[in-house]
Amino acid sequence: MKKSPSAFANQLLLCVLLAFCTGGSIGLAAVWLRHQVSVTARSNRDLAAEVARLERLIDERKTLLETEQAPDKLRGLNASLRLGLVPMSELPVLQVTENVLERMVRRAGSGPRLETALPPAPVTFRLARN
Amino acid sequence: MSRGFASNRIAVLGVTLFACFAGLGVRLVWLHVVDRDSILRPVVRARPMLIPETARRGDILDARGARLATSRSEIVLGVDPHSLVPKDRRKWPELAALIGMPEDELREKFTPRYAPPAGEAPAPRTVMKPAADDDGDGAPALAFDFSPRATPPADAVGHEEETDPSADPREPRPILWVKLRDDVPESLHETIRRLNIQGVYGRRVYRRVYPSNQLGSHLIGFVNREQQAATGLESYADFYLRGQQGWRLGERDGRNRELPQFAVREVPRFDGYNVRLSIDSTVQDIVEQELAALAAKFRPAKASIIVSDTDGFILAMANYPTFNPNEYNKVPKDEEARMKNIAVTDVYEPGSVFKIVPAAAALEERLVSARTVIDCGVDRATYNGRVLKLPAEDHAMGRLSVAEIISHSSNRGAAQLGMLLGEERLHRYASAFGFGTRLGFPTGEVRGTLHPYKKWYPIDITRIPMGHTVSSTVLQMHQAMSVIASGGVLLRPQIIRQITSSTGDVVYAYDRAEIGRAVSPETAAEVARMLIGVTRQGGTATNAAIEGFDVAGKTGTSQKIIDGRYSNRHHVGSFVGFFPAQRPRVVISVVVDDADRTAAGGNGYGRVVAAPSFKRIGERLIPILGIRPGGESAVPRLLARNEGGRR
Repeated sequence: MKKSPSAFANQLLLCVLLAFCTGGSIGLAAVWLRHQVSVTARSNRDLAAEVARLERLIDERKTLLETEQAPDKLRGLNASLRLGLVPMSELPVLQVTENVLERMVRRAGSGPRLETALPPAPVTFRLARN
Repeated sequence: MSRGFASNRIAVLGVTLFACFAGLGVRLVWLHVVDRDSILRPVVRARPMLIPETARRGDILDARGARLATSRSEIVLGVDPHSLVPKDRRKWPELAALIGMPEDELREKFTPRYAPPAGEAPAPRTVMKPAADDDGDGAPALAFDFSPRATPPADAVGHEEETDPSADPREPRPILWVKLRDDVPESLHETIRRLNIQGVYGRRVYRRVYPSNQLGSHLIGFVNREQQAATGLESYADFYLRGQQGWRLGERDGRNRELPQFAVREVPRFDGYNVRLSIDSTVQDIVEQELAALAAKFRPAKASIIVSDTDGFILAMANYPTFNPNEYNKVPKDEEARMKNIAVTDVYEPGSVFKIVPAAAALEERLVSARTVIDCGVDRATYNGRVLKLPAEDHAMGRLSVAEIISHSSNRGAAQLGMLLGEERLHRYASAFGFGTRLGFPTGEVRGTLHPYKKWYPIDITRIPMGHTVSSTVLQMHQAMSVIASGGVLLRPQIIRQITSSTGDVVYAYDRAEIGRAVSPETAAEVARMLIGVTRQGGTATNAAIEGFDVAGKTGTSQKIIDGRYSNRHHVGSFVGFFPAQRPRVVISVVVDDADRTAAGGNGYGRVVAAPSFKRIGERLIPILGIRPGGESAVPRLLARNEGGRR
């Protein structure tokens, strides 16, 4: 079979068109990828900036709270609002150095008085005889 | 159409396409290889951008985690008058109201102006080109071009006006930055941003804030407006606190916005570590309230109070007069001494509190026991062949045991204990108790005075045991008493508990640090027992006693040297002690300088001006620190007797 003289040119044209399409696609893909990289980078940066912004706001609020809780400020509020709060200066635990039971009985105001100072009563044991 | 013609057309088309591709290829090679440098040069010069990231200075926390010093981000708000647009004009009054500036002043600042050419008049500073909205919040960090005219940003926020760096210095230069306000809080800046006025932008800076105002101010110190740690722990722990600035190198677009996808190098910022102190804000507040009460009652020249545990960690340290580190710049020049931590920077003669040294030394050396009786009625004694005059007493003492010498605070008894010891041993024990040396406190400590014993005058052996001719800081005297409270060991006074990262991880933890052993535990316990006598009936400071607790302590009153002489009208009164005596939990020192004018009887004796404060502080610490009476408890003993009685 005789080969057509235009076959070479057809093939070449086809190859060129294919190369053109492939190159174009790759180019478009590269551009799209780069765009996505840019979008992602910007979005990451915006997110980081937002996180930093929120952290700064939280920090500001925290500082404000702590400033408002300063002892001198609280004392000032206590006075201006007439709250009458007093610092804890009373001992929460009373150190009892006297006889504890006697004290408890006395405070209860009833019951028999314990005579701990009296000598113990004699106890008689009946011994079995073998 | 012939077949040959068609094939020729295809061939021509193919060749044309080839030629186009070849042309494109050649052009690409030309642009990317041959002409690359000349094309890139202006781009390289214009697009790179260095964005610094300011590290946040770490916090200073108290023992319970409350922030004593912190950093707050603020905005230095400014305007580029040349960037303003007419459509924003209607928003100016609102902006003026938000920043609290008269509208006329705002309009004046918004008027475009030019700086005179260099050499004619002092020109405003050259501006850094700001990166527009680098993090999307309208407060750009400074961005720099790499031109040699760019100046460093160290104090960029401190200037009122700045000019365009690219302008010819021989011509009038446009002023591109006029400061509007330098302490705009983040929340207010958010509101200003929403106004969206073109040309108004801010620069973010961190400012140091002390939420508790003067609480612990002498310890914490302050950071000045140039962000330099000036005094106190701010300065001592600056290495940990300051962190490390970060930066990123990238490119910007034509509107001066960062192009994050072209970031080529990034060094992340490293926020400073937090420093956690042993200071307890509650205890510190109690101490400062007591100092304020002392100041109101006695109007002393100065006063100091220290509270520590028995491991050497300071729970509170305060001085009068004091200052507010938020307003350090409002302290008058002639009153700057009030910013000193006088508990460690100033020395005084400790007076009778020092008697614990000869007493402990004589006991340790087995020269005496607590029951050994010494004649304190004699006014002269022979020492090394010399007859020495013994110091005077407040009242006749007679024969006293060593325990009574302490509880009655006999000067002559202490002098004779010193003579029993001799110069060398007395000096050795005084050094072992921490006198004459720095104890390693972080900030500003001085060593005090304890001369080498070979340089002592003969009379010194009778005066040093009663706390004269020797000088110490309040902290040194406090640590000397801590030797007795901690079983005979001299401890390093410490104030930092931990260094933690911003995420809370412990980077370094400080532990009890012993400098050395001064006396044996038995001797320390014996001296503690003797010191209980001071606060009991017959002692010199019964008003320091706390009901239900054994309080060990010692009063001290030393005459001040006025015009080169010991004055009878100016005293330093002190009380240093600890409780519970058998199992100490806290050591408290109260030192009041020159309270004579208003003290009862006209003399600022330790028992009058300092001992009551010790008692009040101690009583308030009991519930806060959960202190229980130490040693043998009365309650279990009684319970045991009752149980026995029932059998």
